[in-house]
This record gives sequence, C-alpha cells and structure tokens, in this order.
Amino acid sequence: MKRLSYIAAALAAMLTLVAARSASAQVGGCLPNVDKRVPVLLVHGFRASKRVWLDQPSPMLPAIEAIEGTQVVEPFDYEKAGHKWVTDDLIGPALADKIACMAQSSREQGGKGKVIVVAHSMGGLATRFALAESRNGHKVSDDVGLVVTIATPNTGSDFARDNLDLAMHMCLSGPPFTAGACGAIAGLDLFAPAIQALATNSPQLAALPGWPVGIPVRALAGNITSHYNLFLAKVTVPNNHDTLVPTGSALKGQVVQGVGGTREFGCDWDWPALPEWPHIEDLPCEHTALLRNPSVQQDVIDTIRQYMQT
Amino acid sequence: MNSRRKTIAIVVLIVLAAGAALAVAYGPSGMLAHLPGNPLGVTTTLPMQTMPVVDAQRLEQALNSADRNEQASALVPGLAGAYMAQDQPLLPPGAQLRIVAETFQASSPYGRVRAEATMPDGNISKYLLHLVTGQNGQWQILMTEGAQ
Repeated sequence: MKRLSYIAAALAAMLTLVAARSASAQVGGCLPNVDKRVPVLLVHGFRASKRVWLDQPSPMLPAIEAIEGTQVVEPFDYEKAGHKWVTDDLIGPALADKIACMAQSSREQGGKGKVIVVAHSMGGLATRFALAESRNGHKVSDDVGLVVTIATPNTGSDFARDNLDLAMHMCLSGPPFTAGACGAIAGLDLFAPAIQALATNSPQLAALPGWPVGIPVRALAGNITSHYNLFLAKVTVPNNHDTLVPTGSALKGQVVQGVGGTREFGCDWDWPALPEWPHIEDLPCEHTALLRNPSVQQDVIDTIRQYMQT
Repeated sequence: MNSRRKTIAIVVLIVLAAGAALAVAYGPSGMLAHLPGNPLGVTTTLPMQTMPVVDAQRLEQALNSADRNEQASALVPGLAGAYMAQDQPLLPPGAQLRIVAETFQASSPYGRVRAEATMPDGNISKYLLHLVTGQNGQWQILMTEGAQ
C-alpha cells in the first residue's frame, strides 16, 4: 500500500511538471523570458560553431545586451552541417524555424515580433535563405527587423578555386610545407558542398534570394593592403579581400529608414622576413579576426542601437 | 568518391595551414600562384641547392638594368605590376647587384639567396632575396630584406 502511494505521488509530480512545461511553452514559446525585448540572434559561418561568438572575450555581446530593449539569445549553431550549403535542412530552413519561433514568442509577450540577426561569413547567406522562407503562412522576412553581416560572401568567394592548385603543389613539394603546419587547418574541406556553392557565379549562389526589400542590412567587410620590401622600394599591393572573401562581395547592404549600409575596415600588412610568417590573427581585418576587431564590434553595437531608436 | 578523388581530397585537407590558404591569400591577385606560406610560424631550414646559372644571370641582368620594365621582370607578376605603378627605384641608378649563387637555398617553390649591391658611392649593401618559382619554372623575387 505504501508502495502504491509512492508511485501515485511520483506520477502526480510528473504530471505537474509536464503541465507546467506545457503552460510555459504556450506562453513563451522558444523564448519564454523575452518579454518585450527584441531578440538578437548570432549566426556563425562555414565550418564554425557558436563558439566563435562565445569563446573569445568580447565586450560586444554585453554591450548589445546593455542596449535598452534587446536580449542576446543563444546563438544559432549548425556546426554539424557547417560544411554544407545553406539550403541544407540544418542550416537555412532551421534558421528560418528559429527566427519564426522567436518572433512568435516576442509577439505573444507583447514585443515587436522582430528579430535582429548578426551573421558572420556564410551565416549571412544562411540568413538570406531563411528570410525568403515562410512558416505557418507567415513570411520569415516579416519577423526580422535588422540584419548585420560581417564578411559575408554575397557574390561568392573564389578562395578554393584560386588556391587549390597551389595548395596541392605545396603539399606535394616536401618539407617544410608538408610538416605539422599542414595538418593544423585540415578541417577546411575544399570539396565541401559549401565551397563549391560559394564560387562566384555558381548556380547555388544564383538561386539564393537577395535581401528582402524593407529590411535594413548593415554589411561590414575587411580589406587587407600588403606592403613588400624590394631593396630600397616598398611596393604596396591592394588585395581587396579579407583573405577569404572579396571586399566587394561582402559590401552588400541596404539602407532602410536611415539604418544599414556598408562599411569597409582596412588594415595594412608589412610582409616580414620569411620564414617568420605572421600569425593570421594578428591582422585586424582578416576574415575571422573581424569578429574580434573593436571597430567592427562598435559598428555592430551602434547599428543595433540606431535600429532600436527607430 | 573514387580513390583518386579521395587521394586528392586528403592532400587538399593537409594543405591549408601551409599557407596555401592564408598567407597566399594575402598576396595580390595574380600572385596567388607564387606565394609560399607558413602562417603558423614554423621555422624552415631549407636544403642547399644549386641555383641555375641562367636564373642568377637573368635576375642580375634585370635588376641592374636601367629599364623599369626589365627590372619588373625579376619580380613575381603580382608585384611587378604594382612596382610599375609606383615611382620608387629598386636600387639607385648606377648601383650594381651581384647574386651570390652559392648561398642559394631552396625547397621548391620557395628559395632564398644572398646578393650584394655596390652602390654608386662604393658602399656595399647586402640583401637576402626571397624567391619563388613561377609557372615557367624560373625563380622570381617575392621580397627582400637587408642582410649582414
């Protein structure tokens, strides 16, 4: 008898829990505590993960969070499909699901029903895909108030195509190029579906919808200028890329009601004597280092603040 | 994926750190096929080789020429264009450069060799030339640094 009462109590507790969770889901959806704040969703790029936003000490996220009326939410993470093209179910469509759900939560709690998206690299293309989707008869583009892209290859990046031959040549050329350094970035798969799709004029890129009219897009890009010592001369070579993405490809923004537009972040690189090659992260306008660049971070903060004031 | 494609994929996966990916990408357009790379700072000790006499002579002749087009032919293509677009001389007029071919070290496609420039005032300036092989197999200058 005593045993039966234990079971009954346990069942009652479980039912209470289920009921509570169900009520919570009905009220808040996927963002039960967003209230009237505007969710800020971060989207990483090719072969990355949400750790690009979280692992590095950065004043950007607290600064965004400090803007009145915003809430930085758990970043969108598609690490397991990070080498695939943005049409993959785990990327673009999943991002559309997440945005729609968050906007719904916002609406239910009396908020604007809008999401701010901050995307790095291919994350911006995933966002373009997601914004063209509909969920429950509702356009996802109606759920987004602002997009900020950092180094997004809107018109493609030919990095893989341009470097494949040389890369193979170097790896086959013997030490020192085949040494341990070669293995360090082995995760970047040049045959990945995303790499193929990222090529300029690829059919996949051509099929990707553009930015919807009416959403401000702030597009930030890096541009490295190299300087080479040649005897008494110093020769300057504008690269017009951030190592991976052409500057022009990343500068695809649009202004809506005074918010959005484009900005280029340049940096200079004095080529040091070989073989003491530079550490890539020392360049503040390099593709990934842009995320740690204080000027870029401040631009993101200022853009969000500006949007929140409209 | 067939075995050839798999082999290629494996090779490619090994690649990018070596700077094909990163250091190379810093290079100017048109120079991408010439830059070596080692962005992780791996110290390289290059094996001694013999510099082809024809390469040493060609480089000396180009660098000692008064013709900027001729001088530019000693540089990797991406730098040659940039050099021509600027107004700085590589060496003062009248300077004579001699490549010390026996100091040549290389691990293709990257090499380096010492050079001595006798300036018009008789002083000698020493340089280390960093070279890469172009598509035609000729050594070309990527950059230089002062040497002792």
